[in-house]
Amino acid sequence: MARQFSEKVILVLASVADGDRHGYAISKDVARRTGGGVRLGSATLYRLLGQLLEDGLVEESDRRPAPELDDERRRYYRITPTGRRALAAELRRLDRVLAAARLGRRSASQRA
Amino acid sequence: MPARVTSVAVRSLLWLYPPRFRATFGRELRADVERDVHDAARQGRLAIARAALVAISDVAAGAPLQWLALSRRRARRQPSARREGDRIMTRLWSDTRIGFRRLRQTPVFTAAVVLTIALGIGLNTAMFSIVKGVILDPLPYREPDDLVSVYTRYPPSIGQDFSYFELSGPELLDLREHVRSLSVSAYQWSEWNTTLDGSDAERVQGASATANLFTVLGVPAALGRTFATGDDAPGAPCVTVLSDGFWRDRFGGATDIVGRDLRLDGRPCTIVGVMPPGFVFPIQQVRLWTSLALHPTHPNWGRNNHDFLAVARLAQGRTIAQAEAELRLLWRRWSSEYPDDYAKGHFVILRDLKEDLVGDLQTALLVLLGAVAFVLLIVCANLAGLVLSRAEGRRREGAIRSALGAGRARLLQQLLTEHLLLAVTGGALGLLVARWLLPLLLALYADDLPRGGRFVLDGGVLAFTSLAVVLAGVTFAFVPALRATRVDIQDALRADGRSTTTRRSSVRAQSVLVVVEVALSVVLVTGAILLLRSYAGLRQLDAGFDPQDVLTFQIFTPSTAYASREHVQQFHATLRERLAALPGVATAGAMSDLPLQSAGGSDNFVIEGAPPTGPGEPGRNARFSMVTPGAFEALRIPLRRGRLITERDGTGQPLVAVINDIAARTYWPSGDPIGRRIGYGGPDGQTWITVVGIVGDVRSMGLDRPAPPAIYVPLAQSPRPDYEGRAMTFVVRSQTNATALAASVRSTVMSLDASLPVDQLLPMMAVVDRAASQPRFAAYLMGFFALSALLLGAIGIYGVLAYAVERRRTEIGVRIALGADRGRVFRLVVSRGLMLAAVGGVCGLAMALAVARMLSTLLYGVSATDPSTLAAVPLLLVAVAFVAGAIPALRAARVDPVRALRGE
Repeated sequence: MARQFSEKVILVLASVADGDRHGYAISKDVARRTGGGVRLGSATLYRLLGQLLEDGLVEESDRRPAPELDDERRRYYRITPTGRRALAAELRRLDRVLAAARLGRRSASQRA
Repeated sequence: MPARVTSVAVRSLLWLYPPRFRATFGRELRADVERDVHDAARQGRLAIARAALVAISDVAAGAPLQWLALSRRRARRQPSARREGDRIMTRLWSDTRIGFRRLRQTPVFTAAVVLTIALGIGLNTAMFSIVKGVILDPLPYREPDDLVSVYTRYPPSIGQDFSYFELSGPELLDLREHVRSLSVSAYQWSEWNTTLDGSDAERVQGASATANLFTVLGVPAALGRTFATGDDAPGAPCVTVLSDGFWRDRFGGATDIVGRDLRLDGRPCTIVGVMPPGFVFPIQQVRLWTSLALHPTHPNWGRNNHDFLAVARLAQGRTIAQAEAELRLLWRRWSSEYPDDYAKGHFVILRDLKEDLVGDLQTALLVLLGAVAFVLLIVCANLAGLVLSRAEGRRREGAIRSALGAGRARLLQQLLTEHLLLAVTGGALGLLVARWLLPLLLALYADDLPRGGRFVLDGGVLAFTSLAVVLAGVTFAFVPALRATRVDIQDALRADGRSTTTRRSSVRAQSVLVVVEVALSVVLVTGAILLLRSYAGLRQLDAGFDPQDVLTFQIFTPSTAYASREHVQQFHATLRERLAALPGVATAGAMSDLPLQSAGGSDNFVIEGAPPTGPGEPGRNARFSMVTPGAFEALRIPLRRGRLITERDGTGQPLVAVINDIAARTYWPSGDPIGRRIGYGGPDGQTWITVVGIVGDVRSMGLDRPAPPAIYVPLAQSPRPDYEGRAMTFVVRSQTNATALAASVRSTVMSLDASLPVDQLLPMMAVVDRAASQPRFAAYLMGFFALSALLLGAIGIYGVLAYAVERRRTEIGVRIALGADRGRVFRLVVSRGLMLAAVGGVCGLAMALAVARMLSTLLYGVSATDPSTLAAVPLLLVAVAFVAGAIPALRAARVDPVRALRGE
């Protein structure tokens, strides 16, 4: 599976990797992680979630909060083992890319 | 209410999505949007509107993306569905081709429709991108919603009505120490003559701020660093951070700039960093920041010296309500510890930072956006009318195709494709129009818009435009298309095509459209007339001086080059002499602040012999300015009584002052102020100044703000140690034309001291223009929208009547043949147009009254329900309707009965 994830997909995956969340909580969590830099509109969010569900990287969770805290319209999502592996692989790949990029810059500035 | 509208809008937009998506995520998505709007409700009406707009455009823009994702997925997985998709695509393609071909056959119709849509959408897109840039885009800081401005408020109940006033140093120290919910940074405006390594001096606006400013805003430097703790300790070496723009313009973006010394008014200050592009605080014009010591050693220290502005960030997890509760607690403490200082009841308030930065402009922009949306609606109504009459002509074609077995849905699809083709082409052209219009609109606003200068047609704007295209396309094409396909085949195929049922109901539909157009135009015209009258009133208003033929500029004399106040005065005196001697100059003078431009603020004084004001009573205060001889004369500020300031009022002479009318009336309600003495407190007792003259009131704070009490003293005497007169604005009255003097003024200053920049060299008329820029912007734009609306309305009326006359040709011919008077035929047609205008006018007036409240904050000196305006609009409308109806009416009256009856 050589597909590369978009920034937003990575953030959504990372968010559900931290614990089961419903859609609204995911978009808030992504905004918080990025200091407000990435705001997922609802339409975007559910499009991405739809793809992730199809690809089996995320599944619907059957755990629900206590009934008094629960909004029955909401569904909770959780990362699948495949999703977790895909995320980890993608993060490793990005780490390598970043490390390579930084290395290049350092040697460039040393030359200058 | 907005929550409901949003929810309905989102629900309808969801129908644009693939059914499967709607079933899986529809409920959650709606719940999210509702939650967003609900959360925004706590931050006020604007925040709700923003949340609603964001949600709607997001959902609208998401639909095509979702379809795209679906089709990709299908293409990957299910070859059979792909064939089905291909079939749809083929049909769509063939419809598009047919559409193109047909539109090419009627080039005039096509061009008219496309251009009208382009103009409508272009206007909307341009206006929206302004609104987006000023209001909707988040401020360029980290989590900007947690930022607030901190102010003091003086309630009107104590005679001093300042909604947003500065804070004093001791108050700010208390805030930083006791209010846990906020981290507060204090700042002040500053201006410096800047030089680097002896380069030419440039006057630059900046701000000095406590070292935590950039931490509070949450923005790191792009190069070097921002302030560090301790940079703002008293006596610490001066450090400065540059804006990206200043760094690029002035230093060519040199990366070795960090660490070098910039001289600010001669004082060395180390450049420690450069901010990223797009960082602005608090306004675009601020080009550098220096550290500010918030400490008792500050020259303007004192609990009553309200000299500092402040911005604050809510601490993690705290709310505005918690911060306000803490502020109330602190206020209670102040009231008991310093009862005299707080007896007037002023208190600390918080204001959303964005609201603070954008201010009044918000209402104006939203009203204009509403207006331009109306224009688009009118455009759509007009096009719908046009398409309706065109659809008539195609009934036979539709009938033939149905007779040959085409289903109604297929016909509908064909028509919709054709019309959406028009809408999309128009929309694409509209983007070009917007690009071209945007600078024109911005130029209408003489001053820089707050947060101005970065309007781009970006994703958000494109989403808005697409939404507008879809809405426009559906509005103007759907109804006519639906009607056109509901055809009785036999009826339509009858050879003479004279059947009238469809036609009559189509005329009725057109009439309804025209009524809607007229009603919307009435709202716009009313708004435009009110705004234009308000603006004209402002411009005719006597601001208290004559700006014609006056040139102004600012000079700042830094203490490094002009150490003592004598040096400063000597320089100003010489400059004034040389200016007055220039050919073409009538009078020249200088004052410490120019009319219309002063920021406000006033000083307390005492009147000799009068009892002091008690605590809780409004104090005696007035704006304090320094003037040179010639300043009143140059601006033609009239002398009411006594005398003006002359060359004889120099050092060593008795201290004198001139006051304005309102000061005389307020503080000497029964006595004569001339010859009386007023005193300013200093550390070494009072300085007493004798009033020698009274001049007319000058609107010093803006055209729409009344003149405050003012006291003018001669610069040569400068009786107060805290006013040195280093920053002075010269006013030079020309005998011919102000701008012609600019070059000689500049060279005169150069010949005296080449290191001093001549700043803000402007005709006084430009200063007045700038003061009226917001009302003019609103008035001109609204005027333009209203004019377009009227024109479209007239075309609409003309269209309906012309079509009706054409349809009733035979009938009119019969009437004339039977002896009907041609004048009567004329009246018949014209009265029909007037009828439409009247119905539309009544609806429009009702709508105008309903939206009047929104306008009222934008009006000065005119009521939003001004009866003469409301009466004038229907008259105007009747005139327009008459003209629009006259042409078809004349044609009707000239019908030749013989030819009409022969059916030609």
